Amino acid sequence: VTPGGPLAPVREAFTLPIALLTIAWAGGARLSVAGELRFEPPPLMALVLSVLLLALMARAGALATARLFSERRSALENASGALVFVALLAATAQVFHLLTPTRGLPNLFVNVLFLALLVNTFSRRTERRHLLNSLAVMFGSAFLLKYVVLDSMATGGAARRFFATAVEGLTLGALGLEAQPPVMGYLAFGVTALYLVVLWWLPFEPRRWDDGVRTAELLTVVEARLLQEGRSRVDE
Amino acid sequence: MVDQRRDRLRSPAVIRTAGLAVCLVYAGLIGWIYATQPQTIAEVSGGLASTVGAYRADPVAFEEGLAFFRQEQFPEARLAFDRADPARRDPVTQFYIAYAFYRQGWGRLYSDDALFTQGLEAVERAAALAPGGRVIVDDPDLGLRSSDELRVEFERGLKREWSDLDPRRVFRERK
Repeated sequence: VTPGGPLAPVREAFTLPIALLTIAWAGGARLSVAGELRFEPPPLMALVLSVLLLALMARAGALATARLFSERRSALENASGALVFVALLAATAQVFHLLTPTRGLPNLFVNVLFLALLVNTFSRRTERRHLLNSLAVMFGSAFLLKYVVLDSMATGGAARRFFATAVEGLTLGALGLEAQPPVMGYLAFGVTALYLVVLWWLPFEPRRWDDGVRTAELLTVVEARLLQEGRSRVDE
Repeated sequence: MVDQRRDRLRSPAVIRTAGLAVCLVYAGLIGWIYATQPQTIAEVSGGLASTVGAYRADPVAFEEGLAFFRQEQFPEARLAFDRADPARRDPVTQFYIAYAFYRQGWGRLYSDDALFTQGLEAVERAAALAPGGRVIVDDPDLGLRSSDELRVEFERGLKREWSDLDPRRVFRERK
């Protein structure tokens, strides 16, 4: 995706909405240990986090809303862009829902952590690359917590023994742990990975505060060249 | 001529219109899956077929179920009815499944709560599928011929009340 220019029609009309709708669909699928399949809509908190993240992405230039809908675009183009936006909102909400523990203390903890991280990123100037990198770290950590650590604790794995030893005498009942079938871990991994890839495909626009970063990078290159030139003159 | 047509098909407006149509259908399908919560592929395909009026319960399996039902072999009858209506989209078959739960769970002194609960779920499913929210089955073998009557019977059986201790209960008849 190149910044500034118009979005390729195929990407805007097919690739992005279909990928985002698939994430929204698969992100709500839950398979219980008993094999029961159900589809859960996102809770209110996931929607709030989703709106916050989209606002953050627009602010950081990771989502160029003007390239999805604006006065200069035709009604059909705006409808197509609006569909991408709505699908992105639904997919983001479902990814938050998928990576948040279902209940108990971990649910509260992870929701507060998501909120704190987003508000913290909001409060400072950030640009697309840094935002997407930090989102990958945030979602990756949440995935590890829910599908590796908490799942291991629920099924009596190494994490449970470690936790029980570390906090001797404390019951795990209050944590509200829930065992997940292995397929849920793979599903969550696939959905999260696809979501992060789709974020890179979204139309973006460089922010003014990128200039500082670029200037610093250019200065480093110029400095390296000058040093090289100086050395070659000394050698002569 | 062919090139012109190909260029027209590749125009951004055509691509966007096609994309919008495909995505709206896909979004509708996802919304339908979330609303109906299908458990199996048969339920997905049956549900989609019923939305276009193309779904029919298997008449052979249905007749088998009915034969088991009349011979008071209720678990066998339910299995046959499940085979006849794998997508759970036929109101009459679902009504008979509910009735099989009722007859199996009915007792002169007390009713089986687990079977009555499953029966209530089945009759509610049948009523939700029927036009007007009510199934009426004209079968002389049945004492209760509408989903409303069957639902009330299940609710009465599941309710705990003082009349449960009335000794005259032993004289009541199964419907």
